[in-house]
Amino acid sequence: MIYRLLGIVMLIGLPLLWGLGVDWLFGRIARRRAAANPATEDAEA
Amino acid sequence: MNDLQPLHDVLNLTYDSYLSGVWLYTALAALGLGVGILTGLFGVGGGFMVTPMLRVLIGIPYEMAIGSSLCFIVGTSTSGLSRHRRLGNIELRTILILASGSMIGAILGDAIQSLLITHVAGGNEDIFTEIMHSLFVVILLVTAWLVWRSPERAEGHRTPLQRLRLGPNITLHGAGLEDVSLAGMVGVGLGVGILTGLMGVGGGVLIMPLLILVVGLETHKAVGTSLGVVLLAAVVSTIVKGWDGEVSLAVAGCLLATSALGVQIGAWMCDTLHANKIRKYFALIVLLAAIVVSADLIRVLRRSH
Repeated sequence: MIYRLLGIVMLIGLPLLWGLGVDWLFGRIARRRAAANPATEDAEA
Repeated sequence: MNDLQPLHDVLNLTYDSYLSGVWLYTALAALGLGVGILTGLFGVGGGFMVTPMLRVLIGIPYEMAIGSSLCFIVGTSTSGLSRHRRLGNIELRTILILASGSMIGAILGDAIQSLLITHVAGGNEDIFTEIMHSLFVVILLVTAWLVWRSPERAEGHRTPLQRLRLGPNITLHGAGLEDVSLAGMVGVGLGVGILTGLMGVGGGVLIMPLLILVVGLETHKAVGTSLGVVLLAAVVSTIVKGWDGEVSLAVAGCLLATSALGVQIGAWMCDTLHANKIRKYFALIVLLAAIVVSADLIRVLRRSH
């Protein structure tokens, strides 16, 4: 029962963490790009 | 090892398929990349492509394909929801009302799937595949049609849920909508949830036009809100199907790993293509998927009759 519950927690928790991690990573890359090249970002905006 | 068997039963790290070993994981990674590109290019979850392609191209049984697709949708919709939350495209009240219907719908969809397997198909895998293939051909054709014609809400007109005389009626301040039927909204969520639980599709492509045309949300709010509704329905469905041992973490993990890269490639391609062309290309890809599923349906029908 405990292992079954652990399995369910992993099935939900791992994709959730992955989704948040991916968003954080690519968000960080985008912010760094924006900081390095503000003129381009202003033009895009 | 025996102590860990229940954990293995839930995670399903090994499963039936046409392929094995490195070929299996390469095919899963390629599918994840392709679906990710579609997501980045068009902003949809891609669940409606993942389930039939897992069955047709990789040979994973439908029950497992549906469960794994839902687990994949949990990851992609979390990422999208997080991004849209920062952009302010979330209408929390609408999400909670629609999700109250979609979460119940997800459980109903799972029950309908069990009924189809045991009572309609009589436990026969081929007949169940024929039923699911037929449903997917319909869903894919409807999706292609919806994408091709691109719904736009006429400003100033009352939406169907504002005209629906089924109380109580509520005001959605975040969306700027008054006098919206609460029962109608729960009904829309219920319908979407049934599709999620039955077919393993997030329903992003179907919810988006519904949120714009039927509920009356503006397009950007509809994208973020649909992700929230889809996420909650997918979580409930993954729990239910995971408990029955119908989700494979290995399949979902492979798809998630490469789809993240695909989304970035798709977003880059999106900048280089005209919006109208993107929509038409997407409709053609969905139509192609419908043809592939139809061809497999004919193959299964020939084999079983």
